[in-house]
Amino acid sequence: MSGPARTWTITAMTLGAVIVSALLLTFALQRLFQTEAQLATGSGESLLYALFQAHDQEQRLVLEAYRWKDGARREQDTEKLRLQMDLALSRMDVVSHGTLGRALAGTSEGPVIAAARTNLMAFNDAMETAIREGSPIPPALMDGLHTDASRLKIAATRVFLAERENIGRQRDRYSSVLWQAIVAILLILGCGAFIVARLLVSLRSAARAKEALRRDRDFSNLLLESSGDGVIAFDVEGRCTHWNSAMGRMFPAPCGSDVVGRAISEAYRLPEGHIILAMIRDTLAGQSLHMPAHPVPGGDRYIEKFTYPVWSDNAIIGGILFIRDVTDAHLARLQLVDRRDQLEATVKARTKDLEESLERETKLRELYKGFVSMVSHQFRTPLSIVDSSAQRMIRRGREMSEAEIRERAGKIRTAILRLTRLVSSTLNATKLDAGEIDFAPCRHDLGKLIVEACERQKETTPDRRFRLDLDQLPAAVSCDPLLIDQVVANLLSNAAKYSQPPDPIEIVAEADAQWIRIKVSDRGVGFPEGDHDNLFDRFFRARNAVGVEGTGIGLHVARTIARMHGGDVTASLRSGGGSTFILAIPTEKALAA
Amino acid sequence: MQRSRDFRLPGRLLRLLRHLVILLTAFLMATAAHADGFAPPAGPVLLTVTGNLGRSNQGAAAAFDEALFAGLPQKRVETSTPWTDGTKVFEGVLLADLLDFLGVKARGRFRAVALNEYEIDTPLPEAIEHGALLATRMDGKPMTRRDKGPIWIVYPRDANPRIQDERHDARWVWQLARIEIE
Repeated sequence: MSGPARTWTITAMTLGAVIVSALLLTFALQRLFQTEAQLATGSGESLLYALFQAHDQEQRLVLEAYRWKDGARREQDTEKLRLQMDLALSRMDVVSHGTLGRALAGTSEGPVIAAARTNLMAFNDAMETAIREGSPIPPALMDGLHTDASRLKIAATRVFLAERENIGRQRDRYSSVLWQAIVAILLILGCGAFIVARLLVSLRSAARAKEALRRDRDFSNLLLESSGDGVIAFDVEGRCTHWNSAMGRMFPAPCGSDVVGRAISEAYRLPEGHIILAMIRDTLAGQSLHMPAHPVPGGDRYIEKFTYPVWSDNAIIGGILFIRDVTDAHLARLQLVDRRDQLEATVKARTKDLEESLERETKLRELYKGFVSMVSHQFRTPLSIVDSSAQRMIRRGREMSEAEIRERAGKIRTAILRLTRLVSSTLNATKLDAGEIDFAPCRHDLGKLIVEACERQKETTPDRRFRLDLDQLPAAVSCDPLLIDQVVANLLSNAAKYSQPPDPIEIVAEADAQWIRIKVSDRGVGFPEGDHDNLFDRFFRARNAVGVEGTGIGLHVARTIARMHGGDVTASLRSGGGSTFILAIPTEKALAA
Repeated sequence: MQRSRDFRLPGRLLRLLRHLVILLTAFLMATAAHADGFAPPAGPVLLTVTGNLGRSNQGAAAAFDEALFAGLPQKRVETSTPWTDGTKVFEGVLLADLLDFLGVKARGRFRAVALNEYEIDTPLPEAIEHGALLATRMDGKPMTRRDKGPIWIVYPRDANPRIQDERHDARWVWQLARIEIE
């Protein structure tokens, strides 16, 4: 037999035993109640007693009557006789009238009693007559009374026998009822024993089930406790059914660890509309929720919350809420984000560096290109002069006059001088760029320096005129005279190179509180619009400078030196043609400030 | 009955005269009369009460004739009985009133004795609690010796299921002649 079928059979049997017990009990009780009701009725012994009393009083009356007959006829004897008569009659009335009389009237004793009463009444009349007349009572009447007494006795006997029969039958009936009740009770006892046995078995299995349940619960508690996450489970009422100590550590409840069995809102004293209560409500409505990492209010920890509804069959019977401490992970993530930002900044910086070095490289390449182009143009011409002079001297040999040799050698020397100048200016610029030039400022007469520079330029280009206006210059200016001399010389030779006589070269000095400006102006070719700054790049040659000897170094060197003084060299186009180059250096006052 | 009364008239008259003399004597001795005594019976004695009485009129006993008994407070009880048909109205003296009159405390037992020497003991408090009535009239008519008279101890049986019992019914003494208080 399979488990469920067996269980069903046992349950049906137990139920059957209960029903049978109830039916038997009802039956037994009903029989007993019936019997009890019958017990209450029964007037047999009352009848017997009444008949006995009637018989006795009749006998006594007969005795008194005989005494009367024998001559006892005093007043008290009369009274006694009358009393006896009254008693006998009243006793006769008890069995002939009232409830007992009615009970006897229906039986065979009815006529006997009726006759006895009639006889008694006749005796009464005779007795009264005898008393009145003082005569004896007729013996026949007394005998009749005696006979009646005997009949009453016989009637009493019959009633007694009938009563005994009746009692016997009643006893038989009671006995049968009692036996039925006893059998019923025995059967009930049997059923009871079965039910008790079933109860014991049920109790034992219930105890076993409870034990298993307890073990299960212990195990689930262990499971709960082994979780590092805070776990709290609740039923549909929002009452806590499970709870672990990790939850207690994360969120200590005001009531301590006595949370299970209490409403969560009450145990944690959550105000109406608290986020947790809203989550519980939504979970019980069937939603699985996840609240990503967020800081715990009033703490430095971060937590994540998960809720899931708990289903049984197709109904939600509660929910479970996990709270995970994700502080470490969250901080690690934040750190990661920081690192990434740093990395990005580093990459950006590196990229910028790379771009800068690329730019520098590009510039350097431009520089080399400029240098190579400058060398190819500027060095080739003197070299070809030297070469052609040397070839002519070889070809002509002795035919050459001394003057001719002198002339050719002079050309060669001029070319070499030019080359030497190119090389030294290039080297100077390199030195300047490498910071190998000493900067030694001192108070110097700038006007004198300018005049001397003009004198030297005149030696190279005797056909040029210089117009000087240096009145505004202070007597002494703080500068490095060797370096400033180079700047002025560069500006003057540039003006001479890019302009033609007879236009004069004008040198004007201006001074204010901050600056001393030396302006060198010409009426030459000027420079292309937009090349203001490029002019000062190394090896830069303006487009309109082709065919003019130059390294493209001079202006670069001039600006570098001016900047070493804290000033600058700038270029501008003159209205009416030509250009003006301005050397600006700060005054002593400005430097001191 | 009427004839028998006529027949006894001389004796009764004689007794009446004697009683009148006694009554007169008692009246004359009024000043010396016993504080606890009461008038002795003038007619035939219906009921004699013996025992430790507070008041008496015949030695240590109290004897009541019809007039004395009728002088006690009369009460009514309406009930059916196991011996009669239908509901009957009984009139007579409550046992409690009789005991009050005799200055007897309701404790202990009393023995009721009938003319035919039937006797039964009853606890006094119970009898008083159950409202025992010494009835002399049934349905307005005086009860005779032939009809459970002259005194029948009745109880308000219909009103009290506790006394609707054969054992209690034995306390309904008819033709009551004597009460012996223990």
